[in-house]
Amino acid sequence: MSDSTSIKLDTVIPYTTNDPSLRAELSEIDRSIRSASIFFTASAVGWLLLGTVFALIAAYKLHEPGFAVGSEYSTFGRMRAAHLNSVALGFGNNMIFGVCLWIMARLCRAPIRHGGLLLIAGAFWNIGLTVGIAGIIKGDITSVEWLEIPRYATPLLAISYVLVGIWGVMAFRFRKGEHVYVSQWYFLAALFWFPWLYVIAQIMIIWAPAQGVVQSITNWWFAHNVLGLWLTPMALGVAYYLIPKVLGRPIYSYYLSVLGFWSLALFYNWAGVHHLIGGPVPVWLISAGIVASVMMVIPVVVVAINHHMTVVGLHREGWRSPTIRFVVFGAINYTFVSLIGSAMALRDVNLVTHFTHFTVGHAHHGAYGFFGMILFGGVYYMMPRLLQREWPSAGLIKIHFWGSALGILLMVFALQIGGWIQGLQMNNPEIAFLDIVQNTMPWLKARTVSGLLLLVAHLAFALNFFWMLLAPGKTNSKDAPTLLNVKEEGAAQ
Amino acid sequence: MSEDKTSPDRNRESNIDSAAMQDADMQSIHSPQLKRERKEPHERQSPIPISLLTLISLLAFWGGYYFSNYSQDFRWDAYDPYAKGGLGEVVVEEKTLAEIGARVFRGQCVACHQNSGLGVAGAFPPLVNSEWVLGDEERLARILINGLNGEIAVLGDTYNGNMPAFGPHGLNLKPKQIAAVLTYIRQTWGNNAPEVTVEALEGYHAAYGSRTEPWTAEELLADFPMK
Amino acid sequence: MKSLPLLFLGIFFMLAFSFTGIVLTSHVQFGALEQTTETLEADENGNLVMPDGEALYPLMEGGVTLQGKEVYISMGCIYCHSQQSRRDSYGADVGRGWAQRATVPRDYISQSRVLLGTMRTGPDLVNVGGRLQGDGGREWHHKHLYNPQITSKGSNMPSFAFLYKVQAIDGAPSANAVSIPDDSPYAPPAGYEIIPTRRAEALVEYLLSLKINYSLPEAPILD
Repeated sequence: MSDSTSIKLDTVIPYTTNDPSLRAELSEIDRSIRSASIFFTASAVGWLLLGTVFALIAAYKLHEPGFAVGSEYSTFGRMRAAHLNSVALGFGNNMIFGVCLWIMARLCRAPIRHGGLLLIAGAFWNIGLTVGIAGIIKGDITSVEWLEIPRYATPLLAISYVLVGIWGVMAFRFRKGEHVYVSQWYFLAALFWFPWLYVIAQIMIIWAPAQGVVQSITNWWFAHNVLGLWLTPMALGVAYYLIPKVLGRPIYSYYLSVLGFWSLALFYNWAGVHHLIGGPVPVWLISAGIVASVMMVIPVVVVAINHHMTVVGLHREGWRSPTIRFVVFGAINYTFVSLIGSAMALRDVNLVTHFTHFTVGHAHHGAYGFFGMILFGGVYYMMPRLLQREWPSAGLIKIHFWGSALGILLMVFALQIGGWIQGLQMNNPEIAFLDIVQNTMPWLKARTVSGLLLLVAHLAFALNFFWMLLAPGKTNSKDAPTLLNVKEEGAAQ
Repeated sequence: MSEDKTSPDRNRESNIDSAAMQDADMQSIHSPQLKRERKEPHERQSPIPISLLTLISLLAFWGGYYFSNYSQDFRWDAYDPYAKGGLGEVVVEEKTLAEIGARVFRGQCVACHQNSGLGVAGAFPPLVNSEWVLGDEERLARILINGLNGEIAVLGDTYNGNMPAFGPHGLNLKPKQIAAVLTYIRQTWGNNAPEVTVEALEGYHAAYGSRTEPWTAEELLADFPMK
Repeated sequence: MKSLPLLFLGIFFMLAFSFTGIVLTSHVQFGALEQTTETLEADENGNLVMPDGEALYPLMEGGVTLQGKEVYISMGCIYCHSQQSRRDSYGADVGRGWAQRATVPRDYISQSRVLLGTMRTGPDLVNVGGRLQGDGGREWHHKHLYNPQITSKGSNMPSFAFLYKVQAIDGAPSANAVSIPDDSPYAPPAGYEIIPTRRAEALVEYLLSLKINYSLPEAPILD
């Protein structure tokens, strides 16, 4: 790592200024996927707002149990599931479809063919999800974690996913050039893994249930891999694309990229059973999951080194670029959340954290602090290129960043400190259960406050996004990128 | 080592025929967003640091050690990673009567009588200072073994409930467990009554275990009036 | 990376590896367990067999309890209540009296949907039928579901009052009315009573049916 200071000028990625053929190629690709990517991203913003509202209702009910109890539709269990599916499948997947397909197309250097058909996939996805979440609220929830969507809505989602998946693979099939960049490995793998996971879980839990706890084992193999083999590789692929793209410095090491990718693919796969530590599952399976979870340190440290060595010394540029600010925040959180996750899989630690709010904090840390923030960064980079307009307001971007960053950090601290206390107390049978419930109250209230911060952030994001999309008057007239904390123009965005 | 050898070839032949381009193409090629963009990313060939390889080796070693030690030979019926010798040799820990009593109370009693022993006003009677708990041992044992139905006055308040049976026709707790929980409620929260022995409970079990009906407060008071 | 077949094969085999190792192996190794007696005895050849005439566990699920389980599923109870007990030396599940032993895969073989859960905002319920039972348990559950504050002051469980109806008392009070003392703040207006709907009754029957009150050869109840 000693050569960090000796990065030579000739390794800086040049601007496209003198390369009209590359610009022509990129613009053709951007145009081919423009409507689909915008549609997916706009849907994601909508689901994000809806999911945040569900989240706030659920969070508030946990410390004010008398709130909104008049109807079964707003009971805690359904609000929580509606929240999870809105943000995971509504926000998360739409963001992935919007941002990652665009990056995939660019890296394959091939325009997306029949990009309009992706709009049909998008429509199916959103209709399927709307039906599914309405079904959850109505009471057809399956109570299988991460698979709550009732079975009548899942075929719609499957059709949509097949279309999207085919388009992703087709982009790859018609690619130009020899070199396959690291982001493409991640995207391709995730596009392939997700349907496998989803179909197996649907079959073995919902359609033709396996016996007994084999269901639970399948459930956590699936659910943890949705994070590990779907959201994580997609976000890492976005980070691997945007960091060198914006900062102009090549990724530090190809070898680290290779090592990081394959070790993630090997170990994340096996980690899911750590959700069943101590449970009615043979001990060899649990130990395998624990070892895999700890081995996740390898891909995490590898990616952390690779990213850090790439951005080192460019903090000022990074801080000014909305894209890099979000992406780097997400990448740092990836390191932290993953190391905490590995620790949580150790039997002695899990004894405290299992069954508590600590895990809830951890899930938000990963899904939002890492995945969500990086994809936000992706949207900040993508939209000006697709629309050929600038973001209307730097102030709103700042509100979004600080609301999200402070909100998620507050949430993680509150839930993990509160959850740790809760876990210690639950392991002491002398402490009455109702007292433990009371002791979690201040932390749960802090979590609601963090949720309000996130709501403010999301409103700012949505306002900026739809302003840019629907009212181009002001944004067209801007001729410089929207940067943060900077008066001069022409810096990286 | 920072020489860049893998930079993908960007000098592709120009496949753009300017004359055939649409206006929109021209515009977006020269759009400021594209112009200020960097070329597509690539990677340098920096080697993997030795320290990282060391870390990986250590982790791999630990992983192998942990898995081979705590996988119990891949048995489907082994659930304790630290157990030695399988299920045949389960070591039974001897529990004190007080610990058994506390466990039974936490499991069976707290939902109604609460951890504080104060019950719930109007619904579940208190055990603290209760004349029924501190009074005659046999009367109390009968309630546990057979249950109690109907109205009961405790510390001047009337309750109407369904105390379940814990004897052979109810949850079927062992005499030792009932003796333990009776001792627990008689000697916790400042209650101070003599312990109830396992031997005494075995006697009550023999006497009342076959009865299927719960008691009423009237019946109990007829046999054992309040002092 | 230039060798695309290798990339594809790698991507495929990584997931195939964990799918085989975790899901398929479990399915083969313990995916077809059967009911058994509480203990086994050795036959003349020294093999362990089930003694004749002994009861088989776990019990099969069905009837009104299965309807109740559907209510449990549709209300999302799993998000706050687990249904599993860890061994005595690991956590306080047994120490809290939630169950007398750790639960094992065989305990769940008769369940059409397994609801192990991963959260304990509320207590574990795998053996709640062993903790609260009979008419007393039934009454407790109805009070608690109607408004948890009646039985458990300070709980953050929501009220499920929408599973109950408040109706005018017609002559004598109904036999199945939820008994809430008149001076309780949660009591219905004078002349009214609270009656569980069929869903509430089914849910309570389901809760009463959740019992780990038997030993298994691989998981005996110890003193």
